[in-house]
Amino acid sequence: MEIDLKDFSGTRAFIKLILRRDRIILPVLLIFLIFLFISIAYAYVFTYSEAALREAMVLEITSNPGSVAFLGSIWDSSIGGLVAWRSSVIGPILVALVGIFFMVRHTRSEERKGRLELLNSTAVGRHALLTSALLTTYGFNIILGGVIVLSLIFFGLSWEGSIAMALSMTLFGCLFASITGVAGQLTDSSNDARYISLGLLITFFLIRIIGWDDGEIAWLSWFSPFGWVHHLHAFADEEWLILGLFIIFTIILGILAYYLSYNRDMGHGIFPQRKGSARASITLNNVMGLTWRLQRKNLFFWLLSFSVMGIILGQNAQTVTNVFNDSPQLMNILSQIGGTTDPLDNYITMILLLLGQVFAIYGMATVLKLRSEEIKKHSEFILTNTVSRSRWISSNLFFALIGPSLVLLVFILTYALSYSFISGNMMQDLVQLICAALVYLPAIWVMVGISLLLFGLVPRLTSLSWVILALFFIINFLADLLDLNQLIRDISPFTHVPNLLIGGNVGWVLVLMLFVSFFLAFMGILGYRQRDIT
Amino acid sequence: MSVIEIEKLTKYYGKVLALDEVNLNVQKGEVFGFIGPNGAGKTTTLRILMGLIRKNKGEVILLGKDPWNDAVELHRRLAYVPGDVNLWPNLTGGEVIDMLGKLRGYFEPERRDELIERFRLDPKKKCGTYSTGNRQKVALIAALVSDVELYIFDEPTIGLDPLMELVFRETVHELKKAGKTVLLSSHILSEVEALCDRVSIIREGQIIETGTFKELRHLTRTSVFLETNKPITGLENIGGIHNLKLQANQAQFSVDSDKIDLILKHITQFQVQSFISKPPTLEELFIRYYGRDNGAN
Repeated sequence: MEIDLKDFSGTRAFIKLILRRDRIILPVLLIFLIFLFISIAYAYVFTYSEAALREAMVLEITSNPGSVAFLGSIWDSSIGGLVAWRSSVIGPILVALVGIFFMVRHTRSEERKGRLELLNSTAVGRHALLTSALLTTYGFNIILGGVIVLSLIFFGLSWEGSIAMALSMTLFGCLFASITGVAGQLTDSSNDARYISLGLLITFFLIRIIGWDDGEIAWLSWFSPFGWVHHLHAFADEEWLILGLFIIFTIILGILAYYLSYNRDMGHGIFPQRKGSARASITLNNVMGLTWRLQRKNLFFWLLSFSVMGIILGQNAQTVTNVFNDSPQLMNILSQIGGTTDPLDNYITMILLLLGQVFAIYGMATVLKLRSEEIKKHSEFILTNTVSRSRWISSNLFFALIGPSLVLLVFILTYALSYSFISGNMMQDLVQLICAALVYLPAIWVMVGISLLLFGLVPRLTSLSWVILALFFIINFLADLLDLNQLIRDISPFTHVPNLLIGGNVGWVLVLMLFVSFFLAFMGILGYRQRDIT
Repeated sequence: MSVIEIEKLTKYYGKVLALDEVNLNVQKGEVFGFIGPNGAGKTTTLRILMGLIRKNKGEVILLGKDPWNDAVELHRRLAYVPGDVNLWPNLTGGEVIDMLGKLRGYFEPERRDELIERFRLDPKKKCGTYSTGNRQKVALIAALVSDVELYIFDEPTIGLDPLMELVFRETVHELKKAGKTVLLSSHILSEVEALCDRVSIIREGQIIETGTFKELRHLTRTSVFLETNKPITGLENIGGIHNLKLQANQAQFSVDSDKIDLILKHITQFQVQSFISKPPTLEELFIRYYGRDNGAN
């Protein structure tokens, strides 16, 4: 593969196009991420400025096996150390998500929609598209990193730690930009590119969990970029060389993306498109069949991801709780803090708390597919056939409601099975465990209702539901950190989910949320029946 | 018997007036052409007929029923092909045809196979890999596979090669023979000319003209090419002559239909050698209405 400068011509034009198309969403995302990082810093700088307070908090955290597994251990109880610790999971995840969706949007999706052929008929080099997408994503991450450094230093944290932490976020984002760049070359479907990249993100996350610090295979964490962020020791005697790992792999994968792009046809992936069947199978006889066909890949992806996650976390639960059961000090602290003395309950409660909103994403995405089907004019074939609008929207709503329930169920079951398999004892009270998980459904369904309401009444604003989810996420995320007003906390439906295993109770609020979700969905259906199909 | 009755149909998109008191009437068994430039309101009208968008004012009666309220019932009795066909990329053409056909009701597999072969479609390919023309074919076959009373086509031959256009025309002729009603919107005038019994011309949301080709031609001019033995004079003074090009023994002009007799009587005195007259094509009809030449020529 020779490098010919002509192949890059048009890159600047593409970059301008990207910046113009996303002139609103990019600043919004930037502000959202910065807001998140700054709030974390703010929380620890102002709320936990006293060392004693911090020590107590560290003790509390490390006594919750769920936190340790999921969030990693705290290297240093200084303010900076805590800030770095709290950002070390959520930060990279969000930064990677932005990178993945952004890259797919500006590479694969472009080809898909045939825009690329139009663009390429002008004097544009074959590498221009990939280059422009990579450069803008890298640029976004660099800007984000820069602002993070400045804000952290502004808050009075040490410059080495600030730079280290900021760089880890930037480079994590850049790494996933390169990964997605490669993924985009492998298949001809933008969905598949997303699945591959997201799958890798989840895998890396799970690897880090398996390779947790006090476990026997802690070295495994070195196989995951999450582990690299963790081992960087920002604010705690930084290991700068780790950043080199990021840089090396970002570059290697970037080159691989170019190589693959060079060697394939436009519009196709490296893997060839398979032919299908000439006749429709029995499942395609009705609307439900079509909806199933459209939704099944997504469902399988989520079921697979969360069953793997359930297995890993179940296995991890055993290891983690062993450590706790073997240490009377930690058990002591646990009982003092309140709740139960069973570290297992704390563990799964913590995990459900962290994952609860992620399940909502699946429900919302299912509803949002209605909007994309409308925009792509696919649903017109259905609606101008003998299918009523109610029927079409209901069959999708079915998946939006049942899908997350299935995923939740599968998750908790694989978790329980995995744990009992490893530990040898049947997980106590499987029913109680399942209930503790299912109790998240009303909140998830509220999110589905919100999306459906927007779709039915103001279809152009359907994507606003993501903003609302982000809002709820911020509220719940910051709730403890910043000790938010209860009134503000109550806005988010997830605040009202009881933690059944550690003393919570099913209350009327859950029933209310069920009513709210069905009411919202109902209004959405009504709206859809009355409006024009755009 | 009216299959489609539209009276004073008005539709606003926000503040923009898309349809301005449109009147349309399609009788049973006829092939009706609905022509106009891009953005004139053809697709809007059809989408109102299909219950996708609501009208603001006016009356629309489709097969005796209301297209918005009785949509599902009506859609069992008609088939629709939208302009700009976009299909589910992961379904094959065959699967789409089967699925849409079965949703509508019973369809005959033999007809399906026959149509697939006539249109030369590969039903095993996924819709995402089809060219525009092939996607169009899938939508057409999915509509033609059902035996319904009314067929509505919105720009049906966009992207089809000339051979497939002919196949499409054949199938429409067959539909007409079978007593079906067809509503066809297009801006390919030759096709409308070949297929349709009556046309309506729409422009900027308003119906300008409706009628058979005979009736419409009546309103426009005939082109004449003339060669004579003796030099031609006096033509300039006769009303009803337009675009006159005169060269001693040759004349080229267009003449209003009601003035043809007058012209003939005038030119015979010059000993006509050659006389060629052509009725206007729909293109010329079109240009007359869309080129701003009202009386300017």
